[in-house]
Amino acid sequence: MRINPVILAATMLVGIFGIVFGVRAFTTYDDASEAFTRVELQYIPDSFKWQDPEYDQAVASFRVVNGSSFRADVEGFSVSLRFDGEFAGTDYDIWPGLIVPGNESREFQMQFSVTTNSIQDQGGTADLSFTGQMLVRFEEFEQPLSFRFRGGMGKVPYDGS
Amino acid sequence: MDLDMTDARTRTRIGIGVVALQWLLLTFALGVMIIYTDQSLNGLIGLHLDSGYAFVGATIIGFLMGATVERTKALVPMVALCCLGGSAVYVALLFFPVWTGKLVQTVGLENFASTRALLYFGLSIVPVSLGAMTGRLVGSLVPGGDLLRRRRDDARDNWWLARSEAKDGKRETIETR
Repeated sequence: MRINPVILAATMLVGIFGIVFGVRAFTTYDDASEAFTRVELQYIPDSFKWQDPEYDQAVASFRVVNGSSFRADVEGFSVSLRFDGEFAGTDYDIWPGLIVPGNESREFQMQFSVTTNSIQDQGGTADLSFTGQMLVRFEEFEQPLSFRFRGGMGKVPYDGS
Repeated sequence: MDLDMTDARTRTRIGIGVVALQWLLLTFALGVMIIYTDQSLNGLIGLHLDSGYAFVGATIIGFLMGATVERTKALVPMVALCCLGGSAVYVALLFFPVWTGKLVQTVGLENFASTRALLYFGLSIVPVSLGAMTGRLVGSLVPGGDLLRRRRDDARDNWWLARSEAKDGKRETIETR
C-alpha cells in the first residue's frame, strides 16, 4: 500500500463529486419515475355525441389526470375517430396546449369532423373507437413523456339533441 | 485513541482502512459516471456525459486505485470488483423507484438491468484496468511520498529510538539500511 497524500486528495475529490451527483441522480430519477407513471388520459364515458344526423360532426370529452406532484404541460394531443377500426375523421383544430398542475386533473372536449365520406353514413351503426397520441412535458425533466392510446365508445346513434 | 505509528500492525490496519474507503468512493464514483453516460437515462436525470469523458474518468479512477495498491495480486480483484460495483450502482438506480414504490418490478426491467449491467461491466473494465496498470507503474512518481512510510522513517530517525537501539546493538543495522 502506498498512501500518497496527492492521490488521497484526488480520491476524496472524485468521491465527493460522486456522492453529490449520485444523490442527485437517484432523487431525480425517482421523481421522473413518479411523474411519468402517474399521468393518465381518460375518456369520459358516454361523452361522445353526434351533432348532426348526417354524422358529420361529433364531440367527445377526455380527462388528463396528473397524479404526480409536478406540473404537466400537455404539448401535443391528437386523436382520430374510427368506424369499425377504419379511420373516419379527427379533430383538425390546432391543439392549444393544456397545463395540468400537480395532483389535479383537467377535462377538455375534442370536436371530430368525419372526412371519410365513403363510410360517413355508418356513423350511427358502426362500432366507434378512437386512437391517438399525447405528448406531455414536465419542467423538471428534459425528456418528454409520449404515449399512444386507444379506446372504444361502442355504437352511438344520433340522439336528436 | 492513541495510535502508535511505529507499530507495523497499526500501519497495516490504517492502510487497509484507507484503501477500503478509497475503493468504496471510487466504485461509487464509477457507478455514478456510468449513470450519467447511459443513453436511456438521458433527459431524465439532467446532466448527460459523452462516452469519451466516461472513458477518461474511468481511467483516472483506475489510476488512483493502481497508485495506491502496490500488490498486483490485490489490485486485480479490486479493479474487477470496482467495475462490478459500478454496474451494481447503475442497477440500484434502475430499481430505486421500485424500492420506493413508484414503479412495479417487471421481468422487462430485470432483463434490461441485467443486460445493461453486463455491458457496463465489460465496457468499464478496459479503461479502469488501463488506468490501474498505469497507476501501478508510475504511482511512485507522484509527489508526496507515502504517508505511512514517512511516519515510520520519522520515528526511526528519532534520537532516543536510535540510541536505545544502538544500546541493544542494533545501531549498525539501522545505519547500513
